[in-house]
Amino acid sequence: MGLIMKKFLSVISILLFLSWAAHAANPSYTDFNPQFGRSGTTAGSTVWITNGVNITNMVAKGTFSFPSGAATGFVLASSDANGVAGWTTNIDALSITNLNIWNSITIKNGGSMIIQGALAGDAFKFVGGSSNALTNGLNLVSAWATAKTTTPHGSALSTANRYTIYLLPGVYDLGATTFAIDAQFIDLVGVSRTAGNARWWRAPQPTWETPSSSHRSRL
Amino acid sequence: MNLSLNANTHDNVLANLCIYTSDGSQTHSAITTAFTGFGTDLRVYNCLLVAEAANSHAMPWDKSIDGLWVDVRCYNDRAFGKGVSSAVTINGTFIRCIMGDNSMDGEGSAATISGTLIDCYTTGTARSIGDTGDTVSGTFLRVRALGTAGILGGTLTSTAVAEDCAGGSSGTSFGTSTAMAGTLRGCSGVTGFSSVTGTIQNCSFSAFTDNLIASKATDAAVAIAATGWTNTFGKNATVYFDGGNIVFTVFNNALTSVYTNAVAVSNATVNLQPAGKVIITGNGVAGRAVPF
Repeated sequence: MGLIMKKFLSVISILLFLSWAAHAANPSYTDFNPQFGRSGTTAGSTVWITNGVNITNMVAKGTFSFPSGAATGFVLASSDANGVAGWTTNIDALSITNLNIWNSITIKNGGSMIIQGALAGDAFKFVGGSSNALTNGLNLVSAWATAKTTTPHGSALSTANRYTIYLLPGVYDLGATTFAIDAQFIDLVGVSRTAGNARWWRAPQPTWETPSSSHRSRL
Repeated sequence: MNLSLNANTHDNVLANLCIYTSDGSQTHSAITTAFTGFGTDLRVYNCLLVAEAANSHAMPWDKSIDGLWVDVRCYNDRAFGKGVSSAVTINGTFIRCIMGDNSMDGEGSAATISGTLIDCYTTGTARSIGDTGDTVSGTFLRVRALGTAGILGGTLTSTAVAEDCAGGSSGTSFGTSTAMAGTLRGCSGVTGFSSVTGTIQNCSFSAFTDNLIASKATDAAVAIAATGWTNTFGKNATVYFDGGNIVFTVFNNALTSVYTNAVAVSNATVNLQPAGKVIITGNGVAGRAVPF
């Protein structure tokens, strides 16, 4: 009887272990692609930070790494159930080497985590979304500068290995500066339900804002 | 926006944008390039190019245009290539593009329009897509002028093909007082060519006159030299000549010899293609040439 009980307990232990292992391999998580201004709240669960393109691999492995440049521009912040800030960290190229510190984050009950910054992947970046046209313009210039030095998928930019900057609807004021397309294999694509609404201008800023002619109404 | 890379490819995509400039100077366009022209690999999709200030231009002067342009609208005048101080070549592919008047044109310097235009149209009152002094050698499918202006002016070469194209209501199209050597199928408008050496099929031209294709030409007859004559009418010609012991050789428009009489004659009549010629040897040769 004692032997049977011992074996039974052993089986129970194995099952529990398997259950734990299964949980560890496929944890309770809230996966969300970090987007500009989007927040995720999870009570008592583990939030896995993804780069928005590799969550499958991340779950399977339990760890993941950012592709080169993928995390650029992210700011992470956490708070506890009382809204007290826990920490804030900037994810930049320097912190990529320490990803194991925060590649998963457990949020306390009622806590929240907000990801701020532009969505960026290995070969793309979203910019815009600000009501401030100058901010949009600066972000676009910055995104272009980043794109020029990026190696999507680990390889140099080329005809078949491109980088795309997506422009959210809005105005991108470049001031008195002429935006220089000074590198190849980088694409600028506007994202809008009415294509062409993303507008570009140079200084001085025009007073014209609303499409007023029949030409522009064709947008 | 300045494609400042010194390359003839410009492998970039610009899509779904309105590229706008409020700059009033003619040297600052909404989109331009520091290179001699827009490169072969440039792709521009669904963009509106706007210059808001009066007398400014959304697209640059003296820059050639290559690459692929799809659904690109530039209602400003002098768009898509304008040779003012230097000649330009418009060699890209343009699909459903819209342009203001005086576009794709050599205003002060010649332009060569060797690209492909499909379902494009122009607005305004000044001729676009080739004008006086320009060379038009590309392919044009369903290209239209919505305004009064003509399209496809200049000289249409033998490689130029226009199908289902429509010129403006009053401006002349398909050449500017030149011989039309290309192919026109299903086209309409007011003709601008002075003669035809190419092909015209199923076209409806409001100002078309038969003498453009020579059957009723009334060009004055000209005397030929004793050594022969080259057809400068720009249309087919007949040469009458006589003399003694005449041997003559007929050349086609490519100046290839096509016939030499085997037996000397005292008179003959030969037909010449435009730019063709006849070389004559004999005694006391004289004659006249007339178009037909």
